[in-house]
Amino acid sequence: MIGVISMKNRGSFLEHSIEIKVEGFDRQKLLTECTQRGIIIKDIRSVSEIETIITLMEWDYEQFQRIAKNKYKITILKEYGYKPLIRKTFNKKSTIIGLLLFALILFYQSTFVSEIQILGYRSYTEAEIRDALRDAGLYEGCSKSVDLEEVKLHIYKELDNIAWIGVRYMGNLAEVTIAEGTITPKPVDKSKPSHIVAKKEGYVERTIAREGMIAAEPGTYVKPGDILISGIVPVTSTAYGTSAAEMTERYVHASGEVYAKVPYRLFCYQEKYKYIKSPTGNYIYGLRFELGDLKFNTAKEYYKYSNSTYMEKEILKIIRPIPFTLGLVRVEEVEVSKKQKSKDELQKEANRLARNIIAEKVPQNAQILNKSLKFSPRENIIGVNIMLETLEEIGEKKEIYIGNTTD
Amino acid sequence: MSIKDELLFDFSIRMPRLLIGGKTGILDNVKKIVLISENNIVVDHGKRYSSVNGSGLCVKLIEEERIIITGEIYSVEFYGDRGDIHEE
Repeated sequence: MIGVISMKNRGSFLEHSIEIKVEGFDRQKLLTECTQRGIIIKDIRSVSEIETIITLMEWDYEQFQRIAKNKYKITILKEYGYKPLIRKTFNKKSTIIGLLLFALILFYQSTFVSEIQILGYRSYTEAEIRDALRDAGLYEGCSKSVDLEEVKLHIYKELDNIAWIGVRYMGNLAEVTIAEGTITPKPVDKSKPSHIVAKKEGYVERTIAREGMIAAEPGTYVKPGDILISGIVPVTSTAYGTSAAEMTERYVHASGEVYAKVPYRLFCYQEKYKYIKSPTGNYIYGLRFELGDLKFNTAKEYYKYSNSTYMEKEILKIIRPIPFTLGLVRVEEVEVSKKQKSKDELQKEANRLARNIIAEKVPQNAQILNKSLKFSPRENIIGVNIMLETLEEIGEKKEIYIGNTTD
Repeated sequence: MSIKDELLFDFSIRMPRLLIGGKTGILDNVKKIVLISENNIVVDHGKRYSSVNGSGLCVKLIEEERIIITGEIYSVEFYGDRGDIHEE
């Protein structure tokens, strides 16, 4: 059994140790004395008969010198441990400045959103939500100080059918969670009696009734909610003398399609004049910097033209570690002159406007029967009156409630 | 080993106590370092001397009454008070 020798606890070599070269005779005597005085020595290397390299802890060095007296020449070769490392590091001004800068960059970059994660969307695409968030001021590279309540309100306004939206920051990541509402009407159970009613106004063109009784003949003008195919069918009972003879009608689950001519009156405006920009030949170049919320454009600083065109070529855009954008800008002076649009141009523009507005207002499956454009010129603008007649399926099922209405 | 023998062994602080394994040797109860070289390390334990012979010997640590050495260890010798040699 080997006994454990007690050791003074004075830290470790990792804390602060020194490598020294001892030159002189009879080194064994010196080492023996060190052992007796409790000085811990490690890595003893004999370089020659009179030269020895040893490592000892810094706080033993003074005592070691006292033992060695003037019989040995002692040279410090190296210092080890975290204490001299910290001392050396903090003695250099450049290191301190570097560390401060690093801390500053770290803090500054933590005040920006570097990634946006969108969860929970179904009918909308991620790109649509990202665009809406960008309009609201939340985009990759924006400051975290953006008002999230404003962002939410903007999303509620811009995107329909959003039941709930949540935004939270996780470091530099903004997590946007969206819950879409369900506006799809509940389909009527096939076992329940129902009518087919009009969902919009129009003139009934044709009715294909598969079940139920036609209530609106072709040519009839119907308003939303009017019954088109009735689910209440009259019965002529032949069961004379029984209680069933008193039954005069029965309830069915009406089904079928009702097509109607739906008129649309749409209105839009277009410019009477077209503006021509002719370059004068004067231009200036500049640089646009964007560092987080800090924006600077040299071209805007030296801007002196009353009318100009602005062109920019993005040279650099980074989000990490800090959002930075650099763009080359060219501002060109132009002279603006106006010229009245020709009839052809007006017609072409009106057709383009009409196509856009029709795509927005008219259902996709509607068949356009008639279209007419009517121009009404004003001082600087021309009003375009679009009259449309479409053929659309306007029927929708509505349950027949007997007695009190319950869901 | 009986308790008596064990106690005697533990309190023999002036006798050599060595642990040699692989390329490492631990020498305890060291009172004096007599010689350090690449091939031989001799220490005085008080009543007896021990000598470790080998090649590329290096003292890794010297602390209170203990020396840790590394290198190829070939043999260990003990020198008694009267100069008689006992090799193991």
